[in-house]
Amino acid sequence: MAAHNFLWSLTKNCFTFGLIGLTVSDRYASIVPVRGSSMSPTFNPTTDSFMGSLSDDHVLMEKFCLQKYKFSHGDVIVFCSPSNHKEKHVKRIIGLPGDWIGTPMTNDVVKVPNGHCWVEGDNPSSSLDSRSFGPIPLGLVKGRVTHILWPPQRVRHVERKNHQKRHSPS
Amino acid sequence: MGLKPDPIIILTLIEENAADSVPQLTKPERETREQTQGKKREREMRRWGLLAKEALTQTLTFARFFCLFHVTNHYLWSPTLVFGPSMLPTLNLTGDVILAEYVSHRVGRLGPGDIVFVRSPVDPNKIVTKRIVGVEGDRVTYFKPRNGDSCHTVVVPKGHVWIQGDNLYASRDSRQFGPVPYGLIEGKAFFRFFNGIQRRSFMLVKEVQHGLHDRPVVCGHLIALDHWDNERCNSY
Repeated sequence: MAAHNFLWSLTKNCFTFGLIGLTVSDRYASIVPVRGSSMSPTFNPTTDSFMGSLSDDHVLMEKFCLQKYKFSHGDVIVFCSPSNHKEKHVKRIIGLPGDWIGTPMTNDVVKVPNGHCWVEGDNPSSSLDSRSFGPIPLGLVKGRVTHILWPPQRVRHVERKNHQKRHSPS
Repeated sequence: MGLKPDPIIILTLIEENAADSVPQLTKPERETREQTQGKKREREMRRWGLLAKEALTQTLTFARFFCLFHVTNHYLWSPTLVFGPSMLPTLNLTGDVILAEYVSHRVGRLGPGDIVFVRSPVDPNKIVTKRIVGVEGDRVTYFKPRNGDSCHTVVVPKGHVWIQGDNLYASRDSRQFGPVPYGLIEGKAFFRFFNGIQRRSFMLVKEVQHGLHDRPVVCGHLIALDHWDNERCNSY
């Protein structure tokens, strides 16, 4: 009987903490591992395939920005991929609605439509971003990255970086 | 010549003064007094401790309730008020309370004909209600009523859906802003609470649709246009 009670209270506690954890990670902040090198040297500066996922950067993603969907140039965001809603990508916002983005490759200028943003990775040579799939709707953004939490020697605040030569507000 | 104070009188005075300031206690009485004071302090501490424990329990209960509320409203179902002209005649202009469920879009069981809530690609702070007309890979034929009768055909790309309002004349949907990524879908409508116009109190929204119009939903022209050519729509 005592074991039954103990099991029941253990289940109740697990359920409670699970609910609380889910709510906090949905509304306030959560910790996300970053895979791939499309954001080098900001995240994952070394491609260390020997260690695998242990050496990936884990970052703190905050969700307060989703109340009003207000972002600034240079914010690093996490968003659902437009071609596969189950994948999430981490990139930096280069252009906000109304900005003109110039792509030196094709020599044309794109205006970011209302409600969309232009995202690019810090490592342009190995980054699948708006240069391939175009501007993404802001509704796909799931959070903004503020700090790196792991590995311990790289704990720091993620700075905003502006690409002055890439965009010009209209 | 001074009066020499009488030692007996002095002693009596001292004794009286002593009696006024501190009650003379015997040793066991002093110990009991200290014990009582200690017990009082202990009782007070215990009261504060109980108060703190009570506050913690109440906070935990409140947090549990709040988290349950949040999880139900984001992962299970929640009543939603929808209004606007873009889904006439299915949904009222002035407002309907609809039960939205949030399970289908996470498991991927959404298909053409479902009424969904989508975060608008034009303004991420707004959520719009439209019907899914085509999923990825489908070829959708549509026309814009204000732009003449030319009809366009488009293939829905991977990971996107094509949404249209039931009232094509008063709806801003994929015909204006293109196919919408699946990640923008927030939930699916599956139950409507009627508020007085009809006698029946509950009706499944999909059934209402097929009852009113027998045209295939995939075509997207549920308000019948008499001069619209049916063959063009059925060609795929």
